[in-house]
Amino acid sequence: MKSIQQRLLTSLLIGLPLLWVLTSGFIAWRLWHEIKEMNDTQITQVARYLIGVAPKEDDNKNDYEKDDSKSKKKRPAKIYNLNSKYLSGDLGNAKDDYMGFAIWNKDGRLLMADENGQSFAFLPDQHGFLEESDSAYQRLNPFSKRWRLFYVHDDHDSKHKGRVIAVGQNLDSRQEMIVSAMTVQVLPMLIGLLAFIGLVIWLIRRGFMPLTQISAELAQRQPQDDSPITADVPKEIQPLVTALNVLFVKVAETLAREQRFTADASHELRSPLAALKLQADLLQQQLLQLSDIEDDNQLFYHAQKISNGIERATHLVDQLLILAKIEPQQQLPPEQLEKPDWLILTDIVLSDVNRLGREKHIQLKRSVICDNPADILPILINPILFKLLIRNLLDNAIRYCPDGSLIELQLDTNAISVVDNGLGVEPEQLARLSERFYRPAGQSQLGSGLGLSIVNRIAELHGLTLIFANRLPPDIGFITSVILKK
Amino acid sequence: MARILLIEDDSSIAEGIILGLKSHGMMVDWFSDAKQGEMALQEDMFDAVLLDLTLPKGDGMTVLQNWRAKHIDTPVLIITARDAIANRVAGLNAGADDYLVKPFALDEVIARLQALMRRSQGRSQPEIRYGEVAYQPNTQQVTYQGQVVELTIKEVAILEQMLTHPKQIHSRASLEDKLYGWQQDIESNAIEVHIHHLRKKLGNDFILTKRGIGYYLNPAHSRL
Repeated sequence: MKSIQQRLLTSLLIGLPLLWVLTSGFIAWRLWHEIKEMNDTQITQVARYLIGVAPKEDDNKNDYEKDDSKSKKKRPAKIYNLNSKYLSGDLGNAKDDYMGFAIWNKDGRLLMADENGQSFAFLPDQHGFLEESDSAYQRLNPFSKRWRLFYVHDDHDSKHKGRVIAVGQNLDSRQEMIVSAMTVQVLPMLIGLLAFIGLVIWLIRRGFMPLTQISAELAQRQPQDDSPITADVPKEIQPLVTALNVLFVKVAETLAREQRFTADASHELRSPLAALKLQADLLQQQLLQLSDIEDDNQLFYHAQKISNGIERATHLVDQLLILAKIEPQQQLPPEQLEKPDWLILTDIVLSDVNRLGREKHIQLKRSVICDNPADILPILINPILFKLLIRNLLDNAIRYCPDGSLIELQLDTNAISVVDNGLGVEPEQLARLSERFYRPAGQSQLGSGLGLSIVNRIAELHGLTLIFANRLPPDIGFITSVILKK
Repeated sequence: MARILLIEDDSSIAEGIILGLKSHGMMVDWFSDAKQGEMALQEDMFDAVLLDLTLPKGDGMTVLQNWRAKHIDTPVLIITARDAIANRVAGLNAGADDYLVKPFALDEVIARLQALMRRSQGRSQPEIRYGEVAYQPNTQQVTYQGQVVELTIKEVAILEQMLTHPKQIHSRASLEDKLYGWQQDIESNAIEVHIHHLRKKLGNDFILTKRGIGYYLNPAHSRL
């Protein structure tokens, strides 16, 4: 599920640039259009002036070059450029190649032109702007220099009937003009857009900060914590926070009640067991006093059975209470965590269960799989719970292995495993092993079926996963491991 | 004779403890509520106190705190069903000398009580006697009928285990566990051999066998 923050950011970050592109596109299109219109107007304007001021073919002789006086008919055209003596003063940023013009008489003789105009073709049939589709346009616009040309015929003055005037504008210059105009427009808009996007991201992040803060607070929260959320939240979220605060108190109360119940239950369950155990102990002691009676074996056997029964009930009560205590915990309180010395810790546990093993002639072994004992499972643990975990695993292995088996506690960098050479577990039972009160049918061993549930819970609290597997052939036996979650 | 104050509201537990302690030569005064129990303890009247925490008319913890506030230093062993670590720590911090969670074995209560009394009297390792056998834990010396008996280290360890838990049957597995720990493997009849040697040195009927269950000290000798 996407967060509101992500959704907002995604749509804004796609939407804003899209909108920007559309706006800029429209502006560019309008600009292009306006500039074209302006330039075309300018061209026709220039043509209009030229009609008025263009030289008559035969007068103003002075204006023509006079070096060849033999034949008037072969007089060359008068050519202008910006640097010619006819223009003086500050030319500003004027460029010579921006526009051009040419004037021909009706026979096509060039009367007058500027530098650019000399290359214009004489097109006696052309009126108005030369369109791109015209063949002349193709001819007049070879690769680099492209011109927009306007042809006009001077038909009004009878004396100079048929003069052709062509005015052209360099399209490169026109494009340059449009591009620079658009750059001037678009660049600040682009910078504005980037700044705006930055602002939007910052504002959204800031707006969602209280929510992020609440999430962080909730993630760290212990179930028994009933203190209200301290984050400074906006008005819209306040009802949610208020509801949460009420819920916290309720949950904490429920937990406290449950823990009280557990404490009461432990008292109520243990007291009668303690009384029974004392009586059974006394009974056994008194039976020992009667050791001279020949057939007391039977009596002692019964007393022993009572003791075993009490032990079994005690074990069940212990397991139930442990489970009740660790089940509601989300995480272990940091003050209970410490870095373990695995060798010392496992020594203690192995010693604890050793007697049970001895009774079945089971040999216990410990092997460190990794090279350096300092590398064994580098996590912080609650030593009491973790001892219980290993103890339960070993206990199970001892209970369910036949006499004379070998049980190995393996310590590795990412796992602690108990490997036996017993009979293994039927594959269909593997998945159910850690269920509460589940015991494979036909067990002769004492047990409550809670041991592995406890192991599972403790493993989870330490960020470990509990897995079961039969050993691969040719080995037989069973492996239980708690493995570091990847 | 050691005098013990027992404050416990569950009568069947109390009766069991009283019988058990009596058989170990201790006198027990029993009170079943917090008020009476607290009143009962005055300076130097008792050698040790067995204190339950969940009591009528008050809480064991309060009783303990009140005693310690009055500078009564009698050793206190808490016996309770409250097994949380926090409870144990609170109990010990309030001035208890030891903490035992129900249900417990009678032997353990007795052993811990004796340890507490030894410590309060400044004797950490007294001589243990059982009939004609005497054992000095600090020198590990064993005498039988007043004569020093030479025992091997393993034999001493087995004897010590049986003498410190005299009214109990010791299974072969539990003795093996005490002797070898978890790391060593042993021949299957090692314990039998050691017991056989002990009987030769301390008298044939000093250690008895309960078939299929284990070994125990002959109760007849304890009365000598």
